[in-house]
Amino acid sequence: MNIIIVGGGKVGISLTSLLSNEGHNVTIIDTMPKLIENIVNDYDVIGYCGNGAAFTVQAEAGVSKCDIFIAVTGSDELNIMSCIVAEKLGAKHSVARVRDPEYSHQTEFMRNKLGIDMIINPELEAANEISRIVEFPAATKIESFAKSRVELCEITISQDSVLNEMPLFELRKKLNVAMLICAVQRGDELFIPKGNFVLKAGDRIHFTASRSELGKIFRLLGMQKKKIKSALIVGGSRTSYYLCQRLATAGIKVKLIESDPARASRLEAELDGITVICGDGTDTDILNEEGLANFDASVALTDIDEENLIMSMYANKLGVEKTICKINRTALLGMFSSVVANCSIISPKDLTAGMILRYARAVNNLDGSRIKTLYRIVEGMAEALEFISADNCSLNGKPLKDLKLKPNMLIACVTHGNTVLIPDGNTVISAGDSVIVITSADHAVSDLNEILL
Amino acid sequence: MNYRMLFYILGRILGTEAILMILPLICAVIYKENLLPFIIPILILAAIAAVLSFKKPKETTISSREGFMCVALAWILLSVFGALPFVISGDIPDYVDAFFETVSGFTTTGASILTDVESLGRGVMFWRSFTHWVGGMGVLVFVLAIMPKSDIKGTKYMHLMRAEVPGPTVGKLVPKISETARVMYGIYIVLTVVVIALLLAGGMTLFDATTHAFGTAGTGGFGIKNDSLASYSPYCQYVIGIFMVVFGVNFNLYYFLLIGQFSKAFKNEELWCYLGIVAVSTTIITVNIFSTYGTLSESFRHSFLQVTSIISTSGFSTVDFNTWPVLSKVVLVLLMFSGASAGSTAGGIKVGRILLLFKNARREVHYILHPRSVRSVKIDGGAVDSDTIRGTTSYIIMYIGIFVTSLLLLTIFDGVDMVSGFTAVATAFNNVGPALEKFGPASNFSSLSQISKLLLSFDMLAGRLEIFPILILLSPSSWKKSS
Repeated sequence: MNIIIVGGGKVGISLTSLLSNEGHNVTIIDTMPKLIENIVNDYDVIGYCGNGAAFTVQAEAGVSKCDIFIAVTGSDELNIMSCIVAEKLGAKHSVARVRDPEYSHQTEFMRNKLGIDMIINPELEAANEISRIVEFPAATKIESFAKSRVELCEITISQDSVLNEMPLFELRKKLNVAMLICAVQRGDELFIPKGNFVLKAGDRIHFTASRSELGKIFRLLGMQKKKIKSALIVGGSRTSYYLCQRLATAGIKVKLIESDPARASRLEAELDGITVICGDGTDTDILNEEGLANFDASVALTDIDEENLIMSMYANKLGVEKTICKINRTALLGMFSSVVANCSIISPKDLTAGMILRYARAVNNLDGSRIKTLYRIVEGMAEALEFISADNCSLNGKPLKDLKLKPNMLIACVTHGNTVLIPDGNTVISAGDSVIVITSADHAVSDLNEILL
Repeated sequence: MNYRMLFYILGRILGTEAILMILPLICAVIYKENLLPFIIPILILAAIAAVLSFKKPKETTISSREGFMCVALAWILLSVFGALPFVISGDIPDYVDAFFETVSGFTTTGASILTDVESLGRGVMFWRSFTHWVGGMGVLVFVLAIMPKSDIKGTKYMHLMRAEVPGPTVGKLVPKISETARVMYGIYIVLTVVVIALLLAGGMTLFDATTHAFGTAGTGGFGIKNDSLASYSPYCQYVIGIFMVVFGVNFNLYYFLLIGQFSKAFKNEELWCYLGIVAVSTTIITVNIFSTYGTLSESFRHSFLQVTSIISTSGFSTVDFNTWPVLSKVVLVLLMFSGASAGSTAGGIKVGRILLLFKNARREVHYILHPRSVRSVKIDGGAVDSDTIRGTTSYIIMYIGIFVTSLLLLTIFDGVDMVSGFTAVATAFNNVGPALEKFGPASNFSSLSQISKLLLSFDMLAGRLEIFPILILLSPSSWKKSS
């Protein structure tokens, strides 16, 4: 596919790297020559220097022949404008990042009247993600598949967990629950585990389970699912605005700390049912004064990554049950992941890139096999893909134990009609089933048949 | 330093050389000659390639340092093994001579140590011309063009391309590097076939047409006759002359023509500047040598052929221009330095760089007159960024540095006269071929001492790769792990 990306910021570069690695023809446009030069040297793409909304620049970059046009510059207006121009020039699909809450009310208008196919708001997505985590506090991350019937959860194994030192083949016998561990992160390494894999304390595991079983699993694992009733949010960003709305409607008591008085009073005026404190959220005195230790959850959403991390570490130390931390520069994570093992990390950049990648794959698969959903897990090292098995799929009708999969591939879940099957060797896939496959990210799988040897 | 990836890529390149040597092998089979000169190197190369690129390393990232070193090493190794057929066949028994001849071939210089070219075997002669064709567009570009997609993924091959393709800046034509390489080779092959066809139409034999087309396409200049082009018909001479100009044009422009962006191709300042230089030089020399040849047609033909041959840094000759008046010789020596366009197969400093430097100098004058003025250097209607200007200026400084050092060393080693020494270094460094006086078109480089031949081989490589890769290879700090 021919893909044109306008804006070489964090999301732009991340998308460039992902899409060019999948073999697409990627063209990137940015106004900064130095930036373009670096991107072109680092990735197998072509760069154009100029204003991405300008007709001449777009024409030169070949927008008329492109399949997907993605605008992810820092400016909403430029992104919308670029997409409109691209749409008129003949781009087949267009994606714009629009983050201003004022525009969020006109999403439908932009989609239907302006012809922008996908409008993505990173802050809104981050808020959605956080509120989902608050709903299931035991997991550090939860993704949904098969119309939310199947969940992919991430948890960290603690020293006293029943899972510590457990080989996977004994898992079902001992716990008697339908769960399947599909990816394990140990240190910096990713494992797509087989039956003889032994879990250790400190491993971050991803498992699939049906939503209805989730409560039981958390109970068995000794991770009591206590409902979160109160949350302390530090930082009054746009994400906080969306998040407060969601948490307040879910009946969670929210306290928000924001240092800028003007911002604080504006948020107070716009939002109902929350307490707004004006003060420095990284000042321990203020945090103690507001009783951080008594909250069920803390969410660090300031604009500075380091502050968020340190504040979350402090909350962890005080024994706050659930700490959530927003990070923009994911490069920091490599240095911090050992420190913040119990913390859920939210990166609006990764969320945005992941969603656009999912969209691009869906467009790519309009004709062939169908990837329904795609999540990048384990810091982007692995991917969870949901397929619908076609009538002529070679996986159909055979028990899983007879299928020879490629290395680092795993079938994590099969949904047959309304029943969720956490698969074992005897599970049989039939046409029309939804199948979730876990792969390491360096295999770009676009068809269910590709997972077979 | 990612040595494993470096060796892996080198393995792939040497493997490609083995494949390329099959062509002269076929030629030797057709002419029923001894096949060993090619079979032995092919086996050696295949063995080395198999060992080096047996397994792809896990870590495939390379930085610009590895890219530049890889290109420099690749060119040296290609010449080291490319010299074997000459030695094994016994045509050039001395290895240093054979190495000089091969470097001269790959770098598209065309300077020879052979006193009697016509005595060579057909297979070896084909290989000698074929090195021009391969070296013209670049070996790594060829490797990239034939590499499977899965191998390109994730590795920063742009660093390799940047090190090998001549010119101050390197742009891609299409998003994928392998496709860019394929487009360039596609254009290259089509143009070469056109030359072969036109030469065949002019009455050349297939072998003569092919070898001359290789020499023209790569802007190399190895002839297969002792008197170079002199014995061929004026028609063939004109075909070669015109196509030397064609191969001296930036290949990107042909791509723009191909995809219908005519204005972009014709608004290129470097192109007009290059064609302008050809026209003016031809006129000057035609007038200057008119009295020698008497007729306008003959003096124009010799003048045009010599100008195109030198500016495109090919080095074919139709007459011994060493006997021409001084003015003509000076013009030709100046053309050696200018070279043709960036992104072509020609050598030299490149018209684009000279244009840029002139505009930059004009800006400095303007700054003295109007100290507060704001002024950028504009080429093709757009401002050139300061990094490119900085790079070009330092390139010229390096260029002068290497030139002066080589000239001094050559004088110490061989003690040749000023004009011979100066033009010998100029011709090697700019990848032209013939020099003046002692090394004029009617004579050759065989009289030089061995060490001087190695010195000129170094100059040819440095000139073809535009200095930096070779310098980086030689600089000790690039081999240290932590620097």
